[in-house]
Order: sequence, then C-alpha cells, then structure tokens
Amino acid sequence: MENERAIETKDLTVSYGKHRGITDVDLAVESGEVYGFLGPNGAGKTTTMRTLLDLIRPVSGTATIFGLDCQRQGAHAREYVGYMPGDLNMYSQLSGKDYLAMITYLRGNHIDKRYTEMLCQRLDLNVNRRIGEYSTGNRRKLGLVAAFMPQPQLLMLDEPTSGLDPLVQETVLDMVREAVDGGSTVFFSTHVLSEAETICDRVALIREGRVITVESVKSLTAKRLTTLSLELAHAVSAEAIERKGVEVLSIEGNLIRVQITSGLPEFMRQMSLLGIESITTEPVTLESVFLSYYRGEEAPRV
Amino acid sequence: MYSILRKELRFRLSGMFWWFIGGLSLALMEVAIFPSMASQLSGMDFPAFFELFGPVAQMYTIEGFLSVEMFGFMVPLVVCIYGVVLGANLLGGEEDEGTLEILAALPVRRWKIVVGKAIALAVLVLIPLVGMLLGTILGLEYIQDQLTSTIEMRLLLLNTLFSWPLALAFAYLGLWLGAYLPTRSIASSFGTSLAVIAYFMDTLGGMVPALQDYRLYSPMYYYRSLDVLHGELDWGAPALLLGLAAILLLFALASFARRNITVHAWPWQRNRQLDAE
Repeated sequence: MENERAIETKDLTVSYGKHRGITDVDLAVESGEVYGFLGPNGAGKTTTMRTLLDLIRPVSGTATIFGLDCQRQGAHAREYVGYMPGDLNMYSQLSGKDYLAMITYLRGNHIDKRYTEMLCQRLDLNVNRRIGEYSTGNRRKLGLVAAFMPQPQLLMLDEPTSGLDPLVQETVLDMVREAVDGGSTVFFSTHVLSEAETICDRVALIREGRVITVESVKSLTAKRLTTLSLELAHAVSAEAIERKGVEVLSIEGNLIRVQITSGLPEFMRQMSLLGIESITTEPVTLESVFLSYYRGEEAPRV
Repeated sequence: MYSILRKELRFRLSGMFWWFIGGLSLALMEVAIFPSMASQLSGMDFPAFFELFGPVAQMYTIEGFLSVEMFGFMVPLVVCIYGVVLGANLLGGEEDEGTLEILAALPVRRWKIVVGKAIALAVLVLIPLVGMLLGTILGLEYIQDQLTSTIEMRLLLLNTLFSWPLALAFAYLGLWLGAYLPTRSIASSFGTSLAVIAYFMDTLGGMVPALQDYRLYSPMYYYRSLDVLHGELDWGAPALLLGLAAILLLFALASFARRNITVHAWPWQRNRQLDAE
C-alpha cells in the first residue's frame, strides 16, 4: 500500500438526474501531499469526494484509494479515510462526546482517546453540550475532530474552514500541516484560492464537472492575474497600452482597466510616462483564474 | 452490524418507551371498559358496515371485543403504519437529515447498515405489541371477577407472536421504500397508502363476496386475532408473513446497495448517462 497513490481516478463520470455530475475526472494524489481541489460552488468537488467514498456510484471510470477499488472494496478503503463533509449534519440529540464515542464505536474502537481530547482542546470545543445547541462553527469543529481523531492515512476535507473564525481556520491549517508531517495525505476542497495557496502542494481546478488543470501551487500563482484600474493624466487609445501580457478590459477617456499576466514592471514604467493620477488593484478571484483557462475557448459543456 | 443496531436502539429509547406505554395504556383501557360494554353489546344487531372493524357479532365476548377494538384495528392499522413510517425513516429519514452521509462514509458495509437497521426495526415494532400484551394481561387480572370466561395466557402470547410478522412485513416495506424512493416523505406516504389499501382489501373482502378473492393479496388477511384467541392456530399464516418480510428485506438490501446516497433521485434517474446538454 505504501507504493500506491492515495487517490487515483480515471475517467470518473457521475450523472444523476438532470443535475450536473462530473465528467472524465482524472486525479492522481500522491501519498503524503496536500492536494487542493478547487472550484466554485457546484463545480463537482463534493460529488467527486462522495464518489470516492462510494456514497455515489459512477456511471463510468474507476476510483481507488491506496489501490483499493472505491466500490468493490469501499468499506476497506474507507478504513484509511477520515472525512469531513461540506454539508455537515449530525445527530442533534447527542452530545458532542456521545457523537465522538459513536463514531469511535462504528469505526471499531481503534481510536486514541487522548488524541481526541487533545484535538477538542486545541479547537476549544466543549463536547459536553448537545449538538443541537452547537453553533455552526462548533458543529464544524466537531466534524473536524471526528475526521482527524482516527489519525487516518487520508484526510478528505470538504471546505473544512468554511464557517470558522480566522483564528480557528489557522489552527485547522496547522492541523493539516501536522497530519502531513505525520505521514498522512490530505485531499482538501475549497473555493478560497488563498487557502489553497497557503496549504497545498498541488491543486486541481474543477469547473462544471470537469478537471481543467492540475498544477503545482507555484505554477498556479505564477499564472495568477493582476487586474488594475488606472486613472491617467490624459486620455489614451487601447493601441497605446496593449502589449504582450496586457489585455485592456475597458477604456473610457483617461480611465483604463487592464488585466496583466506578465510584464507588470514594464507596463507600470510605460504608464508612469503617461502620468498616473490614481491606481487600484482588484483582488484575484478564483473565477478570474478559471477564466484565464477559458479565455479564447468555449467552456466545455457537461 | 451490531454497532448500527445498538445505535438505532439507543437513539430510539424514548420512542420505544412511549410506544410501550401507549400500547399498555390502550390495552388496559380497552380491557377495563369491557365489563360495562359486554351486557350492552350482547345480542346487539350491528349494521354490516361495522364489520369493517372486525367480527362485531362476537363483541360481547372478551375475545371478540379485543379482536374488534384492539387487535383487529390497532395492529393492522396503527402498528403497521407505525412500522411503515419508522421503516422509511431509518434509511430515507437519515438520508434526508444528512446523517446517512456520515454513517455511510465510515468503514461499514452497506448491507450491514441495512441489516443492523432491520434488526432494530424488528425490535421496535415489537415494543407496542408487547405493551398491548402486558396491558391486556394486567387488565384481565383487574376485571377477572367480572368475566364469565377468560383468555389463556398462552393464547395472548401467541397472539403477540402472530401479530409481530404482520407489523414486521410493513416495517420492512417502509425500509425498502426508504431505500428505493427519493425521500422519506414519499416513502412514508406511499407505504402508508399501501397499508390502508391492504386493510380495506381485507375488511371489504370479508363483507363483499365479489371482493373476497382479493383478500388473499392483503397481508392483513394472514393475521386473524379472533382465531388465535380462540386457539385456532394456523402457523402457515405468520410463516407466510415472515417470508414476505424476508423478501422485502432483500429488496431493501438490493435497493440500498445501488442507491446514490445524498442524491434523492428517482429510480429511473439513477446512473443515467449524460446527455449532450
């Protein structure tokens, strides 16, 4: 098993009803890496995770976890997995403590109680209260404890920091790093690009059920776009501005909006000659990164 | 499997308690009012319509009274509908609430989830029946001086034993529908409708000669409390109901094995190839 990939899918396709599924998803998550699965809401991240866990059956293609077929050997494969769903629903009549005890029992009691207590302390989670009385953040903390407590070889975390305050988010990212240092693999879905940049070794971008690209975080950030809005001293024409790596998005007199993929210093030198009155940078969104992959071509239909 | 069973029973402890108390109270009340009803009912000429509720002509006897008032109505309708709704709730309800995702993502085989829940269901539907049995025994003890005849304890026990397969068959019908249909509410509604249809098929079949043959298709036909309380035991009837329950459990296993959990799709929508949108 040590030589096996943590996750491998080939041409994985899921369809259900009139809803979109996933199409020909190929993933290869190596053991010991933090693999980000990025995409906007509804892109197919959760469907992919649920298919890996054999909650949803694929129409075609294969999926394995540490070489074990996710359907034929699903229960065996899930022994290696700690999962935190994105839509976290728990047995609200139980206390947090009873919930964790139930998960421990259903997993076959192979869980270190002291480690579980340490996780609860770290996340500042009071497990003596009823889940029904928990805030959304506390529910998510409980879900994280349940996923981490078996110290699994593969952590599948579906938007794990969603609904948590920034301090706890940082703690969770630390926990992910420590799990990887301890030999675990983390498959981590998010729609927050900055989070993926912080924690992931590689990322797969998924949109409308298809994996668009798989990249190292370094190459992804190298491709990140800069969008600038400038107010110049004088009106200019688009031809005077456009150059390799610079795309004019709009131009109205002396107000221009450009997207820059390369050559930012040279562009700024050129603009300073024209007289810059003001400059505003727009935050990079995941969608803009996606658009950079789609520019000039029709988005594939699923 | 045992872990699922334990979880189900533990989660439903308070429900079990109240169904037990409900069955016991109902039986106690029914038996307690029998002496005052018996003299009025003796020789009364009931309209045919009342036969919908059982052998009304024998309501002046304790066996006939209990058959009509309790075992002929509460078991086929209330306990069976309770079984259907509970059965649909165990898989369909847990999926609707989102907790099935957590359960099925654990290293537990799907068939073990179904079998664990099915065993729990067998216990859960027995609880109100046991409550009714104890209530009947206590009630008979309370009014024994006012009875001209009584029912043997053995026959009361057998009556519970004979009614349980009927409740079980409907509970497993609910379990199957919960695994097969998109949501708990659809499964519960459909299952409840089937239970009501089965009840009327049996009772109307007993009243209308033209419908008599259709009674055989109703599971209710195979539980006749008056016969059991009279000591006329047909062991084939509960065996047949147990066979039906086993078949429905197999259907539930097969449906759940193929189910796309969390998707809530109709059967014909499952695993449909993508069309060119």
